[in-house]
Amino acid sequence: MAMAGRTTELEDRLEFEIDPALQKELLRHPGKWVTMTRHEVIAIGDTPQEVLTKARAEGHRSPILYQVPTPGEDVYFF
Amino acid sequence: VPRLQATEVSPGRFLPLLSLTLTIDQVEVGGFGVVDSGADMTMLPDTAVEACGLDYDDIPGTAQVGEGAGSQFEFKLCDGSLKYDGKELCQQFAVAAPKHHLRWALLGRKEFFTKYVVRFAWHRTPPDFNVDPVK
Repeated sequence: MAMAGRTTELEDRLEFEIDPALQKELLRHPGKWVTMTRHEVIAIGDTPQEVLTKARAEGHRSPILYQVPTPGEDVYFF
Repeated sequence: VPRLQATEVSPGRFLPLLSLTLTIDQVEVGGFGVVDSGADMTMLPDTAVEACGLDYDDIPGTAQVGEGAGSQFEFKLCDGSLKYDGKELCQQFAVAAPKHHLRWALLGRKEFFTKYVVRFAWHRTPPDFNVDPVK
């Protein structure tokens, strides 16, 4: 019981930059551009301009812009 | 200090991403940055500044060339405000040339690690990390 309580306490202190369910949703769209909040997708498209335009039209002043990597892509090179 | 779970950017691949806010000429956009202790300075993708209405070619000044991870990269210095968690990291940053297809900002030692103490726990599944503001 004590262990379970401690685990819960640690889990309570774990935060997410992107909601875990949203991470799974993003993985379904490799290569696509996305505007989003930290909890939901606003728009998915082929260009950053397309998804930014849609997000701002919906009133999101500062949407997060993200391009979903494709599996196996070398995404980190510097 | 709360732990931050790493982001699964492709199946089974995790990166320590933080959400950032970039403002250039009063236009604001969000994006992600990789906490990168191997980077000297903070570098943004050209798409981030373009989202604020500034094309890479229109950034004032001449392009510079740097070296990292055994390769050369071209960048320009750009003025703007880059914030994490509401705290300004810098008012000038490098912007990678479009040919590099940089996806995320690289949060380097000069602007980020001087303001936050970072601890990684990459042995966990999924990995996590924490960023503790320097006091």
